[in-house]
Amino acid sequence: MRQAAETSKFKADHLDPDAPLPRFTALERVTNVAVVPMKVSPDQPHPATPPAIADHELLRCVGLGAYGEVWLARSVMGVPRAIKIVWRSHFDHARTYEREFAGLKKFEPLSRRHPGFVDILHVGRNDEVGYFYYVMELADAAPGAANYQPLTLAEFLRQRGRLPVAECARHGAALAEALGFLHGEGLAHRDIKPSNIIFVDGHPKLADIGLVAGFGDARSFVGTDGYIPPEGPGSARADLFSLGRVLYELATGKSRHEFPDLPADLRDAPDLESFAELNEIILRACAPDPQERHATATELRGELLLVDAGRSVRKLRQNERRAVTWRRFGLAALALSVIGGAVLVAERGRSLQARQRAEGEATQRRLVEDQELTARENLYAADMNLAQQAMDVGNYGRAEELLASYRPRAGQRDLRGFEWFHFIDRVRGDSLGVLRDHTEVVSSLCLTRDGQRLFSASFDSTVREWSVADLKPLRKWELPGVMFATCALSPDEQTLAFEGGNRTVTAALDLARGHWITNRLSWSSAISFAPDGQLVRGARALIFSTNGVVEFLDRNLQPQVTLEEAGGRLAFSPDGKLLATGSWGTSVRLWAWPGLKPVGTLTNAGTVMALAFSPDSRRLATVSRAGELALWDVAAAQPLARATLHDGATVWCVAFSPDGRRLATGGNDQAVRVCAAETLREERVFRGHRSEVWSVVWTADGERLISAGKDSTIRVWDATASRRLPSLSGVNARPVFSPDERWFAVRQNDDVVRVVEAQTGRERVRLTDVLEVGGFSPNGRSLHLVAVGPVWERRSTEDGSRLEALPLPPVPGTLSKRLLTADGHWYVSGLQSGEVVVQDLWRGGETFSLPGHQEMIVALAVSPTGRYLVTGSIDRSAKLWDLETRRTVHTFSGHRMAVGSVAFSLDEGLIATGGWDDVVRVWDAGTRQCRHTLTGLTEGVQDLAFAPGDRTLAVLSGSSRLTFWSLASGREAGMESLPRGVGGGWLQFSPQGRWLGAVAPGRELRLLRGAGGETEIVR
Amino acid sequence: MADPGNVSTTELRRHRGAVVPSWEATRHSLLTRLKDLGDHQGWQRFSDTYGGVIHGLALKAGCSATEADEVLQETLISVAREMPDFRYDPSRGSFKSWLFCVARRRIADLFRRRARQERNLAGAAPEWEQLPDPASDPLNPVWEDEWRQHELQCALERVKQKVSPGQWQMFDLAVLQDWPTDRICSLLGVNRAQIYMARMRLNRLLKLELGRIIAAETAGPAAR
Repeated sequence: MRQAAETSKFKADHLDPDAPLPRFTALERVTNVAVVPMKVSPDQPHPATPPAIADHELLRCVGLGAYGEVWLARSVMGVPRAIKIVWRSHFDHARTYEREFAGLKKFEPLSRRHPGFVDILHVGRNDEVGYFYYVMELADAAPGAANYQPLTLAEFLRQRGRLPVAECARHGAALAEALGFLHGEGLAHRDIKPSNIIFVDGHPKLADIGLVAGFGDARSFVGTDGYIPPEGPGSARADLFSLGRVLYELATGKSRHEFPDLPADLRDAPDLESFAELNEIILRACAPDPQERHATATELRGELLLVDAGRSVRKLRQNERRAVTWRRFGLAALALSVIGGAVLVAERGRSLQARQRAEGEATQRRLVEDQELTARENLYAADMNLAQQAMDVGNYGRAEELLASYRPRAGQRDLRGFEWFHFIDRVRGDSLGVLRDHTEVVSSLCLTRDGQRLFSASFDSTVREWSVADLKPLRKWELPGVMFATCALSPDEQTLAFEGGNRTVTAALDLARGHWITNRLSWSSAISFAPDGQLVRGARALIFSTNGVVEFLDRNLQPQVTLEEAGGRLAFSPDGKLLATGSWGTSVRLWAWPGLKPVGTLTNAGTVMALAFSPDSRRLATVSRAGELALWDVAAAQPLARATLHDGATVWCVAFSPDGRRLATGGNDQAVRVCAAETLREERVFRGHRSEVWSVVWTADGERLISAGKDSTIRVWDATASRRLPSLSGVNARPVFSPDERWFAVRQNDDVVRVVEAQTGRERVRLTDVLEVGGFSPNGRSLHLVAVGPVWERRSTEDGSRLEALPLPPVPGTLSKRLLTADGHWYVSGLQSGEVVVQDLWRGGETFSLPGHQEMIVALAVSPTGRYLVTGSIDRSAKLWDLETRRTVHTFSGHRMAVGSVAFSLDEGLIATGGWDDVVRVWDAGTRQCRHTLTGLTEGVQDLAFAPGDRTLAVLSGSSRLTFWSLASGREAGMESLPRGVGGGWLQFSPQGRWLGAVAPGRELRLLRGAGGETEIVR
Repeated sequence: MADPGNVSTTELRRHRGAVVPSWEATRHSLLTRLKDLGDHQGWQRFSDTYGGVIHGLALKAGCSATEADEVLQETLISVAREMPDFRYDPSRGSFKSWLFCVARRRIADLFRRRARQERNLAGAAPEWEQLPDPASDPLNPVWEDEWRQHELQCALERVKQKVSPGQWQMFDLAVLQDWPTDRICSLLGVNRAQIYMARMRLNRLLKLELGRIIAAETAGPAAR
């Protein structure tokens, strides 16, 4: 794919002596030739509105070339593609435009015959407007870019820098092989350079074939400066020169203009020896004299394979040179001819052997690579299962770790299917934002009274101040070597006090002046300020004591008063009249303040980890090591309610909401939980922390929660709303998604179809009397459907008005299953008799029937291009039909019970059938062999769907288990449990895999988020 | 042909790895192109070719990096202004001296401005600014040095284009990168004698090219 900066092409035929001298707009040096103008000036406007390309939606321009542009596009089936549009207006002469098209015509049939070329899938031309275009397979995405950018070798080089010799040789050999194939067809590429080489599934491919021409007709001088040999382009050896320069850039990380300089850091390179070998190949390929270069691309490939296999090209050359020398001697000295001949044969044999060995080793290596890939695919499936299980038990940290290892690196094959994107979305949890500035455990949080500023103390020896409104950092203080374990803010908000977790240091920070006061006291677990501003700490007592002590400190942090047997944790009531203390003992004591007279004891509180008074000071909440939350009436010293939260895991913190109606707790189960303060019934669970939650606070408005913990992060949660996606009940059909994935339409009971915004659940329009929904029109503004009548209709998704209608002749027989294709082309009815009736709506409803099944039809699916139909029947078979010839193509048998669900993969290469026998079979549509048999399901297979990209098959079983199967390995790669119920279930992916709509047997539609959910609001 | 003088290894090493813009187009053709003020690419090439020399001069004259950029910019503007009437006539003096005069005036302007800004209007301008003869200008040796470095760079680039890549690598590693001979032998698969020969040949070529460049500089296009 051409990059804007690298697109200069030189067309010598513009130098027609009779033609007026063009104005110079851009210029580059070409050795040995006059400099000629480029046809596009940087300021030339490029069409803001691209032409309409049949069956494709152009999404974004991802590359500008001298003669046109490359667009990221999406086919009607949702498959992402690249489309290059070449404009006639960008050429001065018609013949150059035609030559570009002629190159494409030559290359198009070859493109799919060798894996080293980018596949050209379709070519179109419009002479009225003046352009032609071609649809290509899409290159891998360049990692790190916010939007899709193709991963070209140029981009790869920019990201990776100099490549290891073996990798260099491997890519070089792959490209040389492709060139060899092209040359074998009598064609030359003429523009080999890094930006014209793209990666598809991690393999390099030759792209931008605009300059391909036969060896004979390459009269024009084209190519890119620095890659063109001195004698000019257009021959096989010229292509080898260009490839040599590309290899030079890969091996040295330097620009081709610097050739043949060697990198300065080569001296210390670990692979110097093999580099020497590669260098020799590059020097030969780039020799100024074409006769000194490799004779063919195959020869170059052979040498690169030798290097890749760790063999010496130099030795091979020596052998070859010796053979030549011996041959000369043999001719000169007849007497030695016999010996010479023998040696000649031996030497030739040796070099041949070396080449064969290298070929063999390359085959072996490919075999090993394939095995390695299979192993990785298997591991991927296993890790997805583990990640899902980790999430199910709340261990999000482990799940994230497992998922993160599958983010593809440059040049590596992307193994991720829908399930990965869905799980990473789940791992993200519910947080609104994550602050990652602390590098160690964030142990404690406190807020100012107005709720505007937040302080966080961490084991990383820093204290940070944040603005709560926008989560921006304000100030930072550091006390080197001290790991802050707890913090508290004084009533006048002038002082922050801390306990150091490691060095038994108590510290106070003057916030205005930034001064520290420190003192070494015993180990402590809590710190607070008394209403009069006196500092109070809860400390571990002597070894013989069962409970902790509470110490009151003076301004210099010297202990003044000690309450024995009080407890290590403490809280003052908001009205300033009470102090509650408790810890290792199982009771909580209440003390009147001031005076510290004991006024009550709360018994059976467990080992208290934290205490909190309600805003009205009448109630006290305590949490225990065993996960028990207790609510106490302070005046009566009696428990009001008790509940076990966090699945019995230790709870570290508790906080009342400002209105006193809710309680938030954080615990070892990595969750923040909110419950009603009256009943202690759990209301919300916030997931996302990767480890124990140590501190939680409410914002002053009670709308947000802020928590922090062992994963070194501070997370903000919306306590009022859920990030959970909308769900709908009473659904009785498969949902359909709009091409832009923003809307979906679903039929509910009473023949009502609702068009709903996927993200918010907001209803856009409601359509009545609908029997069957087909799909959205390509622009998303209308919906194909079959309404009561039956009548085919296209209705507006904006106001529900009817745009088109076609009454359909009634189908004779009793209907068992029906299907309207997304493009409104076919309306298929399956009958109880086993007959299938098809109506071609594009031909005014022309009807034909497909007899063949013996019993009732229970499953229907039409292939993405609309050519094939697959049907499933009670007769235990599935049939593949060609809708054009109206004949059976194949009958799939093997299921022991009815085939209740069928699906096509998006590339039509696979067909999946799901049986009532709890087995899913995946068939190769070409060979019709069963490729995978997926078992372990229960209560029948309800529905199947291939995720965009065809890496994942989603299977919904009658037990409401949604299972993801990795198609590369045929293994289960995680699952989701949906609400259980009775009845059918449906699955549908949105065109680009952003959503999966799953209707569980209980008729409830759940949306699962896939790709696109990965972004996280991280500051 | 002018005598290029001796080139030291240290001097050469300063230029290793510098990507020298095209030297294929003659200065004459480049200057002719500049008459078209809209020829951005031509101007870019001019700036690539001589920018370093002008920038270097400005820095050594005592300008800050920002000021040197400004001098370069203004020199280019001055050149552009004079271009419509420009006739390349070597008899009227070398291009080198002409460009020096233009650049020097811009540096003088800058110092004058600087002096004004320092509210020192009465202060004397630097001594060199008042000297009429460029040859006796104290900045002249600086210019000469910058120019020579520039010529050397170009000569190196020309030599690189003329010899085989393998020979260049020998020269590059032995002379410019100062690798031990043994290591070069093992990396490039050559013997000591070959390295020696390459060194000799390239040194000779370098001197030849440098001589040609200098001759072209002083004698004008006819010498080419």
